[in-house]
Amino acid sequence: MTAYLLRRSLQALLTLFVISLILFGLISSAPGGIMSAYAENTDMTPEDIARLRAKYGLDDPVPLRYVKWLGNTLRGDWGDSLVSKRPALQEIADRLPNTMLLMGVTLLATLLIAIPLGILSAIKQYTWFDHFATTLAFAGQSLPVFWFGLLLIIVFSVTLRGADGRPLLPGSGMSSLGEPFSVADRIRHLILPVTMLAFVSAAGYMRYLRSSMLDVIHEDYVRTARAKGLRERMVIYRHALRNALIPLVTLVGLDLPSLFGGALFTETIFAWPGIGRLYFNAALKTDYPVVMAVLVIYSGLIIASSLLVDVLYAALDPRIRLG
Amino acid sequence: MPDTAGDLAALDTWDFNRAPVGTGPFIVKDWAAGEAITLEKNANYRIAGQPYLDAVIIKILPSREVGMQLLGTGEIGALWDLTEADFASLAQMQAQGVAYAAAVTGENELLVLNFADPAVDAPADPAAAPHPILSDLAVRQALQMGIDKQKIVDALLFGNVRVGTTVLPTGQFACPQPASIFDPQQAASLLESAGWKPGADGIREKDGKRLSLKIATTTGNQLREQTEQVLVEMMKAIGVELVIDNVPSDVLFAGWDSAGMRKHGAFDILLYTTGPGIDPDSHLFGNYHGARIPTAENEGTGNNYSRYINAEVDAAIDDAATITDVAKRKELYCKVAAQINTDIPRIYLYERLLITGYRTNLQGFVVSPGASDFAWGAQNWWLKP
Repeated sequence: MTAYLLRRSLQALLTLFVISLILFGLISSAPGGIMSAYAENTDMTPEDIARLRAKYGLDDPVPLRYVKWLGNTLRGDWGDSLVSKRPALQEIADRLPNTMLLMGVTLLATLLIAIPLGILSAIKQYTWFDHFATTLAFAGQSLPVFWFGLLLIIVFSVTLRGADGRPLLPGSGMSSLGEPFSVADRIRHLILPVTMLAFVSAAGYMRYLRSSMLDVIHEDYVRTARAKGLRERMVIYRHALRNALIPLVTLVGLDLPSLFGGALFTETIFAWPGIGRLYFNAALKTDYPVVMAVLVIYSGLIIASSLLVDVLYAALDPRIRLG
Repeated sequence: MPDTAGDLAALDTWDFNRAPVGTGPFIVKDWAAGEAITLEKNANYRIAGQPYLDAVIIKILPSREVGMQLLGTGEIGALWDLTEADFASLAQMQAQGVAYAAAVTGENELLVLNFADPAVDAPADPAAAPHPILSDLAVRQALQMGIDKQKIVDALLFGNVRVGTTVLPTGQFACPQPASIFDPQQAASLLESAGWKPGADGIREKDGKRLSLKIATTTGNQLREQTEQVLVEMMKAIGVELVIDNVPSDVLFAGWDSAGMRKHGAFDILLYTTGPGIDPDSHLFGNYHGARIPTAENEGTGNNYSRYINAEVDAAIDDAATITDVAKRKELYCKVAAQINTDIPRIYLYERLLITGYRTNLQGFVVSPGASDFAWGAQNWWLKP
């Protein structure tokens, strides 16, 4: 096991290094650039522009810039955002709790919806419940996520009004402006974005679990368990579900990095101050310290989570041998 | 700035940048990055009894559409940086208690015509490398005559803006000029006399070369895309082929080092907005003076993308920069504006407005005369219950 972990960790570091190299190259070659903001300003003299370029280190050739960036990053200096001049890590840290809140609640809601629906759908295969659930899942997977979000806003925020004429559910932001902190307020603001995301994710998970469950239910050992006289509830939850959940662990594990990455569409539609929007805006302006910081952390998380998933899978399923 | 703010060399890292101190009606209480800036009433404001509001929260929104929706539901009190294209939505939202205020900014949505050959990189003198089509004044005149600017204003902007006529539309140096005439017949005859005869597909030709021009503007802007389509139709009517080739705004406005197409002269016609600030010198010098043509020698300095050189215009701009008498300066600038309209390095389509939408319960809201500052007069704002 240790040898396996060691090997995988080394592979991870190598992959991360290659990813950072490619990403840095892409970002540095993008047209436009951070200096284009100053191009229109007639008061900027060429000396000023040259001085700023030198200050941001944009004069060096790309490979040298990469080496400098790598050296700084390994020493813990992730650089300052070229747009806001604050440390890149600070920009990320400001928005990370917001993203984790949104994505964490979404993940929870997704599992709470998908698992019961998936199980019931599999047990009651071909009944009206099954048809209803799979149609809903199909709809969820086919819906454009942003359209669904806008629809939710139109229905719950614009059309339907509460008792005082204000929108029934807030369609934007994390909390009501100017009002003191209140958990109820935060929850109200979470309802629409989480519904939008969870509906789409749960659809996928539910179908996956349903098919996994169906595979397991028709296995011989389940039939044996029934033949032994066990109650149906025991058969399903003790024997079948445990095995059916294993592939789901893979799915959830690989989805964990999204807790960090956020969801760009959701954040834009609901004006949620998260990492998705930070990354998008930084990429548009080729604010490479922030872009690289987000990408490196995100890549690292993906690699780490896939390693975690592999180890967990081996732990849960004795048939799997790692190495 | 106060000495206590910090060491000048480390300007970028000052806390002052995120929590500035000033003498205005509100003070910054909190700045949640990407989310909102909360400003509280300044108890020591110089006018007793003001500001009337206890706090102003500036919410940072990702898009105008989200903002419009929040304005309609009442979650925000005012929304700035709206465009002329939003007039239709604003009119619809009047029933929900939304009003708007607009002021002329002094900028024009305009077409920049390249006098020099786009195949040559950043030429210093258009006479040495003239544009095969646009270096001819008759062609430029014909292009302007073929554009029905009023129709663009009426159809796309619901008649809410003025047709562009001059580089200096407003302010103390306003120099109104006669509007360009729309006469496609005369435009066609101008092109004929210049040697451009209609070809088989209706597009004019001269010496085997087609009268085909590329027009570029920023992508993702519906109003500009519609404007381009209207222009294509208008140009087709006089036998000119206009080919749309849009690029993202970062690319259009890129600097010299990023191979910016404006700086290097790699375009035929561009469509975007620009204009002078309160004092015209900076804009006129940068955009219309011969010394500000971006070249390799001056490292791409200047915004004279048309490569327009007119000795009289240069002299007038230089003179006006050295005298202080406003009346005399205005006379010189008006001479410049008139000459620009004669030489047509740029075609002014319409005057831009700065539009702010606000809810009708927000009283005392005025769009500032310079139309540059959203919060001008914030000490006068109050909310009607």
